[in-house]
Amino acid sequence: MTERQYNRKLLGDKLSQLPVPPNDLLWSRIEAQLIIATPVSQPVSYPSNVAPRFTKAVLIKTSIAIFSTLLLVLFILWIARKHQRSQKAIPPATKQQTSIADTTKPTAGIVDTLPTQQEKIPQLLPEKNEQKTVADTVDNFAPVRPLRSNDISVSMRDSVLPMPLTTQATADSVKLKVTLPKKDDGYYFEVKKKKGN
Amino acid sequence: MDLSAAQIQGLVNGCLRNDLIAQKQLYASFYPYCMHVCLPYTRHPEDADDILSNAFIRIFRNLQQFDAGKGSLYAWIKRIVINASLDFIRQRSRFTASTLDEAEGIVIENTVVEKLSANELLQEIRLLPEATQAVFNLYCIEGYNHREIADQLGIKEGTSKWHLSEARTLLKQRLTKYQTA
Repeated sequence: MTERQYNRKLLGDKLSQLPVPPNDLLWSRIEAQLIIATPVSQPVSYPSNVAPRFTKAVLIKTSIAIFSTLLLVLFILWIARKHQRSQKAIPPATKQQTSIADTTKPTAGIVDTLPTQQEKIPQLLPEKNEQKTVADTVDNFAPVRPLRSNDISVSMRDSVLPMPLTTQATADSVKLKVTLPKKDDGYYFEVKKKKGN
Repeated sequence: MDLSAAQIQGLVNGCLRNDLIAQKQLYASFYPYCMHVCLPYTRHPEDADDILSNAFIRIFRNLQQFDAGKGSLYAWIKRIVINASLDFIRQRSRFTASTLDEAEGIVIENTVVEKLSANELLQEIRLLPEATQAVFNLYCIEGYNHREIADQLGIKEGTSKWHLSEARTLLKQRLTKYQTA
């Protein structure tokens, strides 16, 4: 054995005396990497004739599909919102309108006109077609004589309200003062001409 | 740590089947050995964890390349650990462009090595510059010659000699206290 070989043996023997405690933490780290790095060609994962599910191309296509769908949904929502706004922006059909008594309070109602009500609580107003029906109704009999309370009925959603307590009718409009039942979410009124009047 | 050939073959076969239990047993059996190989190449204990983590992944991934007819599993694993250690050092430090024509022989006198404890020896090695530390380990502990070291590190043979000479100079200065003791 040469001097260098002996020197090497001495150094190796000395360093092999270094205490090395078990390192389970390092094994956990290695184990995690082994699990992640298990090749997809292993029989347990995929048959050899089946391509891996999550290739880069598949991920890109999936991302594009999700993004396109999201854009489409946003576009539909935008169209719907635009349509909703355009509906609200339509003014009342005629100047001759039936006044509607409305309030969100369950006490005696304050008579007001339809356009004002639209501005204050638009979500409670009748739909477009129903407004037209009311206006047509008023147009049809307004020229004949001033409106009277008996000429019309007031309904709230599907139920008919009691007759208006007081009325003040002109050729153009009729003001109604009614006592409304208590309700939390506001009122929806529909004014119609009674049959035979 | 001494495993019989049959035990080693059993572990290798289990690891080749990606059996986690066999992989853990191989890790537990070879961890101290690998750590002793790796420690002289590090500066901190956590460096050794990084190197060995990388080395064991390489071992498990390439185990099918191990040929018992060409050498022992210990030698094969040792080669991988040394390569992982050198990769670690290459990422962190550069080798000098200086070269030297002659640098042979022992670096630390045998009498001094005998006086040093294992920890003292490791600390002295760790105080060398990283590139010099790598050359010292390959030459003095692993027994490679300068041509082999140059090939492994991708440096000139003269550069390897320069680093070994540098290691000798630095260690001689610091180990004087052990010579006189």
